[in-house]
Amino acid sequence: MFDLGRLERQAVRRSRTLHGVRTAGIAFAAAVAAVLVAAVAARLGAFAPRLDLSVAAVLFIAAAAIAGFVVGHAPRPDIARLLLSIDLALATGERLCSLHELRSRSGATPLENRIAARLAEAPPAWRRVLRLRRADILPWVAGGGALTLAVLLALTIAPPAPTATVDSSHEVRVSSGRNATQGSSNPLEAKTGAAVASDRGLSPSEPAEPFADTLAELLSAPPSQGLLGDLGDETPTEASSPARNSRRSLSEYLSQLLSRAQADRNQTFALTEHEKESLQDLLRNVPGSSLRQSLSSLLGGETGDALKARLEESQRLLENSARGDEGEAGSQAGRSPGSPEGEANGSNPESIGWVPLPPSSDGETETTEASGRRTGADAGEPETQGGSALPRNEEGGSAVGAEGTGQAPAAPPGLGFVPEELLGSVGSEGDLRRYFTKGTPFEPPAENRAPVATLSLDYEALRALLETRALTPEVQTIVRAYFAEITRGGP
Amino acid sequence: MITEYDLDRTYSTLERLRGAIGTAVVGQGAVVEAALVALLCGGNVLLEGVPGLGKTLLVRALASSLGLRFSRIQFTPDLMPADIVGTNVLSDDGGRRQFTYSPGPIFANIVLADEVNRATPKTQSALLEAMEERTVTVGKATYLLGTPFLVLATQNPIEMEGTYPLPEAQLDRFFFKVPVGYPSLEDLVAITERNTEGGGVALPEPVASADDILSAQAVVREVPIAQPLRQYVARLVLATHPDSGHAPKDVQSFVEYGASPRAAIATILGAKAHALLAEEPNVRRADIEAVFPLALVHRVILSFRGEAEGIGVPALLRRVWEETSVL
Repeated sequence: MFDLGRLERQAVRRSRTLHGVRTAGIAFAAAVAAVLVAAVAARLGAFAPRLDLSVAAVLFIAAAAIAGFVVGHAPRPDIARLLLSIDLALATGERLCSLHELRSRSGATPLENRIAARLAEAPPAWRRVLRLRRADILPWVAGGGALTLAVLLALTIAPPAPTATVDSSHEVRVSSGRNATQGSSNPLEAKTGAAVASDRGLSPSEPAEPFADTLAELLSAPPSQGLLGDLGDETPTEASSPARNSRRSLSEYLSQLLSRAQADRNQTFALTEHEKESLQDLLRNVPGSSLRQSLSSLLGGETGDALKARLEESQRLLENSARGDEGEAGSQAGRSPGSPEGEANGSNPESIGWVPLPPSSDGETETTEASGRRTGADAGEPETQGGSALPRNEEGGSAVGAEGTGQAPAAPPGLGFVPEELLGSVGSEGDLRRYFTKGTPFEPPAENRAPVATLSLDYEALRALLETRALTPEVQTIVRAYFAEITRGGP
Repeated sequence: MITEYDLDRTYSTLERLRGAIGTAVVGQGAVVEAALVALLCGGNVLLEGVPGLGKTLLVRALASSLGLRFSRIQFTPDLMPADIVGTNVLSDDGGRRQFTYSPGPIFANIVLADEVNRATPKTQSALLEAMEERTVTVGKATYLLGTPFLVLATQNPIEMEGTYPLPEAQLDRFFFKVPVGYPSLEDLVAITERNTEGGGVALPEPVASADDILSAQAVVREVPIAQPLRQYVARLVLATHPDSGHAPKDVQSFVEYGASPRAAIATILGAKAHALLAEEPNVRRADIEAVFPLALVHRVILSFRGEAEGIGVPALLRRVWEETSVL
């Protein structure tokens, strides 16, 4: 006799399993699609792709599939409909559902026996109907698998290197980054890389930015006490904003000390240890070794009127140095990008390269501070000096060293550092030159561009940037080469 | 409760009936089957076809094979209701005069109402009331019609001049409306052979009794139909209603009124009888498919637009069938 009850139990169990698997497939595909959206968002910069996020995505997909199975498996199917679906699929003449209908009534009928007898003669192969067909699950699994591959690729492949075109948003970031840091160049306020990043609203997990942004960070980083300091104190130009700020800080501090000395009527005025330490810190950042040596005499332990005289002399030296800066600034103003000379200079493509400069005319082994003094002396003639001033921007690049040398530029090496002038020689190490860089591969627009002389680098911040910004290997290589060149003082 | 004997008896009766009718009627298998289904369900059939297609022969052969009383009413414009249901006549019974009831031709087991659309609505109504109520009331007396009772009405789809088409309410009382088509080539050859040689067409001998039919009618109602199939039939009928959510677009566009609940009843009951005729113990989807158009074709009323565009109800029902899911 045909056992309809057993068939019903098995069919229901299998139907629930199948429904669960189908639902799991749909949930799997949906979860993968959601993760893909997240991956695309990560690629667009919403957040940084990280290993833990990848693991979480995989767990999410697995959990969605399991949840889909549970949800699909839970509801009990309508047995009559299930049996009718089997009947229709197997063309059994709707005997299964009819027998179920008769059995749900009270009392057996001859028709029930006839139906059961016919089912017993030709048992329906109902398992063929309730099986997982490829058409049921394959599209979902294939689609989900393809999406998974896409997700994995999106999560694992590094972001593409930036193209040579820098969009306006990057330019804005470059300019704003520089402007935000120009006023805080005090080395005492130099921050670590993480601190720099946090100051600029960048989280350590922030995704990779184009190279232009990185260079903007570099340009706007506070002055370094690190590698650039190793190059020699003379390397930063006098006209640089950090140098001016350092002098200003020192001048203010000296003014305070001087006023205290003048107020001392007992002639016992002397610097405290704390004041000496502060003074030392400020002196360390004063550009120009001669100026620094002059000011270092303040720490000699003198007291009373002698110390007062030293303070006044130092104050005077600082004022002279400041005047030199102003003169140089006037020179730069006279060499604006719109000036005829600037345009002429900018039109010379050979400006990218080395311009070997002869030793300075007076042959002094002067630091940039001394050069600043000389420029400051010339500041009274901006019209004549402006055009021949050192090129600090790209447009004026061809004029590098024009006044000082008058020589043709040499063949340009890779990164295009231009030796401005030979400052002298340092012992057995050879010539001491001052260099100006042509700029970065992704220069901001001229209106947002600051003089290259304002370039200052914080190597801790730089290292933190390189470690946290997920630069592509190519970009990292370029950046390393860039600073390797700087470290060596040029090619 | 039916027994195995009833079931076997029914199968046997139906087999004999089909064989007997087949000896007289060539072809028209669908019409014969529809007539038998209606007989098993206790319904009445409206046969629609041009003259000369064997409608009367079919009815006569059916009545003859069942050994039941048969009557034929030719509907004409001057036919009166009393001509159908009968009337009281003054009779003289041993010098005592009294009115006695003289039954009309409706008092038969199988009635052929030929060209029913030629009678006046009043006469048509008398017939259809008798069909529905299975009783006839004359004066103050009510008379029961015989059992089994089957009316097979015919109407000619052409020559509509001077006819009185049956109103929709009257049409709804027919269990099925069966189109009678032309015979096929082979059937036509066989028809000419039977009618032109020997003694002509002979009506079959009785092969079943009224009791056999009544027993079969009881068995029909016991044939099981699964609940999902019952729901399917309900959805099919609802799909003929233009305002229903189940209706296909064509139905929404061209149908004025959908089928009545009688259509669902006729479909399920007809499917049961059809399954029994096929010697199946239960209703199949194929049984529903076989009777669905017969039960609904006269119950769906086209809109003006549908009639203007020449939309056929059978085509609409086919669309309904195709677009309604079983599950």
